[in-house]
Amino acid sequence: MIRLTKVKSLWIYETMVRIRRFEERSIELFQAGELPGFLHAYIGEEAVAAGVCAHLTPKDQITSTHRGHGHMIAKGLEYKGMFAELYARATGYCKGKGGSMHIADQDLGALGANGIVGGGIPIATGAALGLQLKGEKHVAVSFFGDGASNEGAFHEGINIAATWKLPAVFVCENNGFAESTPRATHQAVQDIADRAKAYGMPGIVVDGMDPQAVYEVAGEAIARARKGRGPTLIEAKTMRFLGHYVGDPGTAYGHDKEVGKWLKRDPLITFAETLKQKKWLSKKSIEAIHAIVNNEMEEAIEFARKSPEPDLDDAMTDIYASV
Amino acid sequence: MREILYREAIIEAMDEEMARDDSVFLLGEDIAEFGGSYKTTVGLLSKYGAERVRNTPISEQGIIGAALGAALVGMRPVAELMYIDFSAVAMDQIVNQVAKVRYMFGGKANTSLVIRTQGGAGRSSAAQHAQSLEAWFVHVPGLKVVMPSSARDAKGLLKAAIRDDDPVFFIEHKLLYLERGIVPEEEEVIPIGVAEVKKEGKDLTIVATSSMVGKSLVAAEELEKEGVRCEVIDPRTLFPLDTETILASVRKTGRLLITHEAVQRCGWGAEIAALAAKEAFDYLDAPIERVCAKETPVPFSPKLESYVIPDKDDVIAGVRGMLETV
Amino acid sequence: MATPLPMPKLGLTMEEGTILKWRKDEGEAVEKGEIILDIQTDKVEYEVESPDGGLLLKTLAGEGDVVPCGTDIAVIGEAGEDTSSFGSAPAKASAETEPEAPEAPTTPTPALAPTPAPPASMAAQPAPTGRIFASPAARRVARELGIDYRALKGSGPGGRIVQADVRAAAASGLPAAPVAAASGPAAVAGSTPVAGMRKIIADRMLSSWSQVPRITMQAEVDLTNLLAVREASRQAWENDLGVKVSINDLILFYTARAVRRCPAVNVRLGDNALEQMQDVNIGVAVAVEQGLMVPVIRGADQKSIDAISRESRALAEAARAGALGLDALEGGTFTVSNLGAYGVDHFSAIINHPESAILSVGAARERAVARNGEVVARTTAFVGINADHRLVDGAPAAEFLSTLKEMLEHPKVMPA
Repeated sequence: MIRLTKVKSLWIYETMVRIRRFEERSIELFQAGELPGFLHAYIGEEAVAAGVCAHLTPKDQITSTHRGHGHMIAKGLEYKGMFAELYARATGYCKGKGGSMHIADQDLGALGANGIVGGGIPIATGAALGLQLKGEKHVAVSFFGDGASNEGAFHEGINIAATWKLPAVFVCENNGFAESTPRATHQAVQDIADRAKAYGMPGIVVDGMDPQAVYEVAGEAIARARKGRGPTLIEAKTMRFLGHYVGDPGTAYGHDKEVGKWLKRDPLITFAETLKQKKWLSKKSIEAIHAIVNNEMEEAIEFARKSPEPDLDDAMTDIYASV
Repeated sequence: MREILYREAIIEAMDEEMARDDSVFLLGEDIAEFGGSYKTTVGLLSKYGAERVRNTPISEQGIIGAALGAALVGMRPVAELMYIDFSAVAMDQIVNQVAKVRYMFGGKANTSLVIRTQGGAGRSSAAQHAQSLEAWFVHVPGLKVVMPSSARDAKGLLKAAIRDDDPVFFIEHKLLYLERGIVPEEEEVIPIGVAEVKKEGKDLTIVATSSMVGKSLVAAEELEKEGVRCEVIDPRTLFPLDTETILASVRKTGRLLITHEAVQRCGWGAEIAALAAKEAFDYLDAPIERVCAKETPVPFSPKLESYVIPDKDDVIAGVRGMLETV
Repeated sequence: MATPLPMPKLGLTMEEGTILKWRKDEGEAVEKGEIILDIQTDKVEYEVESPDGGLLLKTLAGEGDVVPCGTDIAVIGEAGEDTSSFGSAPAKASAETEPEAPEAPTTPTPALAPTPAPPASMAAQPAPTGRIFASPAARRVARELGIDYRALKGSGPGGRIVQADVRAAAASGLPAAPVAAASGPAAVAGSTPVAGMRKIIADRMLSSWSQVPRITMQAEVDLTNLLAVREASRQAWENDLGVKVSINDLILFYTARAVRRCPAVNVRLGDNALEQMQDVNIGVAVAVEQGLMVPVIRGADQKSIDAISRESRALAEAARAGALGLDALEGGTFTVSNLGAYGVDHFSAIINHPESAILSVGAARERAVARNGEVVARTTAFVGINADHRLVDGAPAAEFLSTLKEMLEHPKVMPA
């Protein structure tokens, strides 16, 4: 059993705050008309990204989803480059060419948010394959949603990983809605983790609102992967607190009714309480974390605003390494 | 110089590159013990082991995704899609992932991978195993597309493709696998993006790809007996395209015929026609002609298949039509 | 207050304009800025806008009228306004509907006679569009070589003018194109419906060009002796025969005799049969204002020089006056086209189908030629034959040309 230490706990808490504040500010900026495109907010699911990534080093790889800000922050990407990307600036992680859905940093093992549902799963399998071939003890983690579990890519990707015993962990963030479609109307299984059996790998359900539970389950799966015993499918039951995208009230498909009971389990509140009870986190520390995060964020937003837009010529670069 | 089969040239290329670079590995359906559906990986399993010659499940998007993920962490995978027709089930990975990550990620992405596949008709393989779909991939920025027509090109270009830092879609032809051609013993890497003038001529330029190169050369020989001297150009790489070689020839001959095994509409030939119409307009002495497959799915019946797929007589007829005088 | 509309002055050099078409009738309402008529200058066609809104009270000049710039051509105003103070525009004679071809002589390749009575089938053919089909390469080469490709007949599929046609034309010395615009699409200097004589010429040129495989050969003929003979004989001819004999008359005279001596060029294609013509009827290509005509000197090989001279002159004058009877245009078996008067050195004429050969005669001028190892000045002309290679082999055509050359280079003082 992998125990959550104080240091890791505080890291997870701060990471969740970073994610939450990033999303909240992004929504404000988006609604103020400062950000082009559209946003998918991760608010409510922070415990999953933070609990899993607490185990990862920059040499470990992740693939993510259209709702990817949380994974990127948890994997170590910084506010400056992320905001600059949302602002479509040349200083963004993708030089303004990727945007919200494609933020990535290969140096940090972040193989990208992904605009295609399920698209990252086979890529994580491939990254795990590469790591295995290189003989490195690193792992690849793929985050995806309940909707993606119905994509062919999910089945192809996890089957290959299981067959080859690749150092991969598949983390399904089951937030109950495939965009607008409630889980019960898009799959017959109650637990997506059950599907793991069909591919010959362990499948575990975990409370995605509980960072400690996620941390412990992920820790075992990652350790297993590092030891060459193959992949695990983790299903984290969670809930996005907002609609599918910023601007979707979630009223058309019952999300607004469903979300109420989940709000009481907001991991930022419950985990802070847990840590306070353990005397690991004081009110002052919480205020300090928020102050530091907010300060860093406002600096990053200013940096992004002042950053240059890409040159028109930049449209034609990075298509090929060389032609 | 020695002659070897086109499929042997493919094996040699992979063999040499795997020996040269540990990060090169193969994955695909039936490529290990079975040696590949068209025997293009025979002997490699015993030499390099199951780690580097990996049989995959029948999971085309899984294969391509796995290749991409491995490339992203520094490997140089060579993924085989048994038939180009099967690329359709892997299109997300090819088009939305492989082709895009470098750009989407602002240039920071290793995407050195090769997708080997084969296409073309001629074996009564019917509609799902005989298509020529190269235009799909040329259309997608981020991919390089190579289509060798000879054993020598197959080897030299595959070696270049494996060494290339960009994703290369490498399209072989099932009928060419058993064609023999001169391939040098010594190492030869043929650069991507360089066309070859397979035959010089002055009266008309034929730009041909893959199987149509050989057919065009036969056509050109026959036409030469009538005093018509065709220049036959094999672009070898469809993208990046060696436009200068093509345009120089068109400017010389004033007439351009493009031939490929894919159906005509929205085919790669249309791109070449547009190129010549714009860049060599003042040199054209006749409308640009295309000799392509009829616009049908590939039929099973040998009689129908040979009817819809262009042959050297179609090329000859096309040439005659352009040179006809009244 | 009625507003007059004057003929606009569209450029410094514009002095008058031709009214092409009134878009509005008298009494029709017109808005300010609306296009009211089309005019043509020597350079462009132009849409004229109404200077005011109201009714087109009166037009002062009709379609086709040529009106000096500044002269009123219409009155715009309100219903009932008096227009009597505006008189008719002092129009010149109606403009010709067909603008003159720029620079080019009335015919660049005078070769064909109009068919007097077009066969019924011709009427059923779709009207020609007037579009000239030339490949981009042909257009470029024409531009580079200064050739007016519009005058050429194409040898490509569907009669398209191809590069080779332009190069051949350049080699045979076709007239240069008018100065082209430096850039942009090719300018059209004027447009004339292809009808009447032009249609006949077009159809027959096309049919000849598209149906007749030609053999072309030329020879440089030394006319020094012929000129000397004419000089020596001039007095005698004028006094005794009552005619002024031109070089062309002498060429017609000798050509007829050469044709008689080489009947292989005096043939035509009948129904799957090569028909040997009985008579030598020489067609003489004559440029007329709107095309060309080929009146015929019948039995020319039997006629004396004065008869040839008299008849050719009469036929040419009648042709130019439009007074030729149909009988004068019928029955030719061999045509002579002489562009020497235009200074053309050599050219390739189109066979006047169903005849099987045509003679092209270039300008007689002093040229440096080698004679017995020395370069000397002689008056020469390039004379060529284009023959229907289906009927006339190369050797007989060459024999004819060499016979004619021999005759022209060694003329008789008093030919008969």
